[in-house]
Amino acid sequence: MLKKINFLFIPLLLFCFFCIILYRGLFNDPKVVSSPLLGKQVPNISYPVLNQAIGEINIKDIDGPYLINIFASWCLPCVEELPVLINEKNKKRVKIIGVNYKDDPVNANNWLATYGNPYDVVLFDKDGMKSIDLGVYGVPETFFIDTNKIIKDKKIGVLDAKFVSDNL
Amino acid sequence: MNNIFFVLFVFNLHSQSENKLEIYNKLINELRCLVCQNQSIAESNAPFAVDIKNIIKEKINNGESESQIKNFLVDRYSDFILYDPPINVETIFLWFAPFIILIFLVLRVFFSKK
Repeated sequence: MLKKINFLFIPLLLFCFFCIILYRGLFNDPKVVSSPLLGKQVPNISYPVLNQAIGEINIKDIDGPYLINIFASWCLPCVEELPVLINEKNKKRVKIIGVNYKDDPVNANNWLATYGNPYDVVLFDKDGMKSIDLGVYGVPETFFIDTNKIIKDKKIGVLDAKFVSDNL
Repeated sequence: MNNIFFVLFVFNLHSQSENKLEIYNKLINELRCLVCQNQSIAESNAPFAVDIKNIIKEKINNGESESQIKNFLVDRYSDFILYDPPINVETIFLWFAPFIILIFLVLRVFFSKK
């Protein structure tokens, strides 16, 4: 009799185990793919500067801490997160590097003039191919680079006010 | 428009070498499109999938091997870009749990019969 009762617990335990796993799964966003670049040195990528015909900036040459924010004028969530970036700009805790992604420079300039420009410098990735070395697959994406030039964190989607504070 | 470009470029690959085309087709079917999940790079026309196709094309033409190209993408987009997950610390449970459960059930049936 006792032995039978013991075995009855096993399906119940399994049921609870799967419930927990599936319940947790409800809150996983499959669109957010964790980057294998976290904890690694920022890669060598030389971008041209928006509105400048000559010269490139290598993101590895920028002193940390800084943010790399991937944005485009055709991207609606980028407008949504812009107040967070402008607020961060006023606090002057980190440099903010913008990477204008798969965009038209005219549209990008209009966008910055309309909604505000939080960036210390705006780099330009016309076809998005350079940003592949950062593992970018959409906009907006934001990277936090620390003083040792290590990629400390990455936010896929709309930036929240906590992102910078949590990483400083 | 994308389709025309795609067909032209497949023909271009085809004329160069059967083998290159095979590697290309194999790779684009084994890789996941990160912005249109549950579709492979081959099935998708999302800008991301087009970019990855172009990179694969370029790298194959530069003589890079299948595993070199896979490693390049995994280094940037994690194992998630592969439809066939590799065996490592994170996936070992996924791979072997069915066998462990099977062994457990066999033992269970075996012992309950006596």
